[in-house]
Amino acid sequence: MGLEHNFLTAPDDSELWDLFRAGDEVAYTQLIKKYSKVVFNYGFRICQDKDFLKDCVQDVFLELWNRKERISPTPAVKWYLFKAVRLRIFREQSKWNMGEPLDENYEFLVEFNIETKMITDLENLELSNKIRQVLNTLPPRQREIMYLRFYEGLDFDSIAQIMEISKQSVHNLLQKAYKNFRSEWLVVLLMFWR
Amino acid sequence: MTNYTNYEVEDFLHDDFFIDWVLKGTEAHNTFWSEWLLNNPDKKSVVENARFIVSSVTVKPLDTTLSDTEVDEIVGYIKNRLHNKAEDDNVVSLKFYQSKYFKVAAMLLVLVSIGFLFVKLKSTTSPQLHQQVNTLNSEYLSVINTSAKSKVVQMSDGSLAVLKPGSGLKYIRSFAKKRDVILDGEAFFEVHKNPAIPFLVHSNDMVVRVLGTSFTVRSQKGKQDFKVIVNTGKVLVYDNKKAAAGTNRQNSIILVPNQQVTYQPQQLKFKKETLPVPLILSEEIAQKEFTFDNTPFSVIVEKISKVYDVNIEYDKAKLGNISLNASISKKPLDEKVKLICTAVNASFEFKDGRIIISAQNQQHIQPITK
Repeated sequence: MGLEHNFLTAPDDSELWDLFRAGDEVAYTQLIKKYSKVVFNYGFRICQDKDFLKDCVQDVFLELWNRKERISPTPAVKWYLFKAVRLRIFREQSKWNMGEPLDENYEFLVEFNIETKMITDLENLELSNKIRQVLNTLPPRQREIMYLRFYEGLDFDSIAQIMEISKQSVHNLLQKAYKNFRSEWLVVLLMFWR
Repeated sequence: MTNYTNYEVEDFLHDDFFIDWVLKGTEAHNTFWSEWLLNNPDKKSVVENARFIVSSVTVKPLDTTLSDTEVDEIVGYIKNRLHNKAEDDNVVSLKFYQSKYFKVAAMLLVLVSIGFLFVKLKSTTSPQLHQQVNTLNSEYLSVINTSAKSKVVQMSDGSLAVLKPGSGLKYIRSFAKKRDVILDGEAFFEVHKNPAIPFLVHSNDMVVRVLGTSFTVRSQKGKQDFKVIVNTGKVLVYDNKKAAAGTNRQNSIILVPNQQVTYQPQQLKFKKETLPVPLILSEEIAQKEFTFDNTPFSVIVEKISKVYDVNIEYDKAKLGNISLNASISKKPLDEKVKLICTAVNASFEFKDGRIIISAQNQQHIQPITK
């Protein structure tokens, strides 16, 4: 799972990024092809309106092109695009809703699974179902952090910047999330290693 | 390097370097952790537990994703925007027009196209871009008021702008898909309501999105200050550049009647004020000003002409002394004129920024000049 989503350090990314920043349209197109799905996936979890989101994704890439001269030389492509799309979703939505900010009570659509190959017997299955339940009832921000860190493989600094909160807040929220299933997890672990 | 010797399971779950090892497992990670485990054999189960947790959290894929075709569409759309921008707007907007998301999509398309208008207008130095400006002109109509009097501009949806001397207005020929105008200077707008297609006025980097009916926009090229005054209805004002850069989310402001906002880009500040005296076109004042009881036509025309600052030409001898009873405060400018014309059996037209009223029974007579 991790490797598949690890676009950040893929060998050709920094090369693409440099070419793109120099105004190379082929590299730009490759970036769009490579990242539009993953950006869409992330955005869709915040806002489930496909056409609206497609427009957001388009705009984010257009903005990327228009700002290429001022953009960081570090090829943090995914981080940059996630931050831009999240911002745009909230901004466009609040514009449409006459300026009422929505981001405090947004939903973050994600369904966590527990890797099934690790479940060796029925008892474990039951416990892992419990953990999954806990994970899936976490508040949106905690779910979003779990998603960005464990699924998208983004580090905590990037997550803090994408979500526009401090790194300390990210860890505080994560700690709250862990607290919810600490007991369940420990039982699974005990059974797994006994 | 972090000292991991006292780490428990949860501490590892807060550590980027550890999580990256589990998720990405690069050579550098593997080397570090196998060596660390050799030196800290008692930590093996803690590390294994943390590893287990990190790798066991997976996410169910979404049912809705972008297909390869849709990705290609996005690429195509973006390429069009970069190359032959103006023409291709129509194709894309038509597509969204048909969908149930039209409302939102239409709004977004408007915003997208603005970005490019600015880009193009600001970089007219290269010959290639000159060409694009020309194709753009075919889709847009321009009015520049070099005269000493205000000019009335009627747009395709019937909305009106009263353009003050020395100001320029550029607007889309057909407002069927979007209602976009670009203003340099000062103009009073009376906008027909159409929630499906927002009316947007661009001036420098500022955008006024019309939620209601009438307002004045004032901006000067040299002076960066920007002002919007609302008579009736509701407008939303925001800085397009700042909004795009995402530097400040609280960058838009809503205005209701008798409020004005001044914006100074250097200070990035909106100054919102309620006017001490209500505007003459605001509802409460207009009702008194535009209710006529046995009033001569000439007086009514004079009033409209003065309040809207427009030139109205009519046959004084023939129509001037006809008296009328009328209450036209709630009507926009064109409706006002239409009503009083109907009352005296005259017709009217907008011509060269003026309003020409002609008595009906003279229509068959050929004009003497031209």
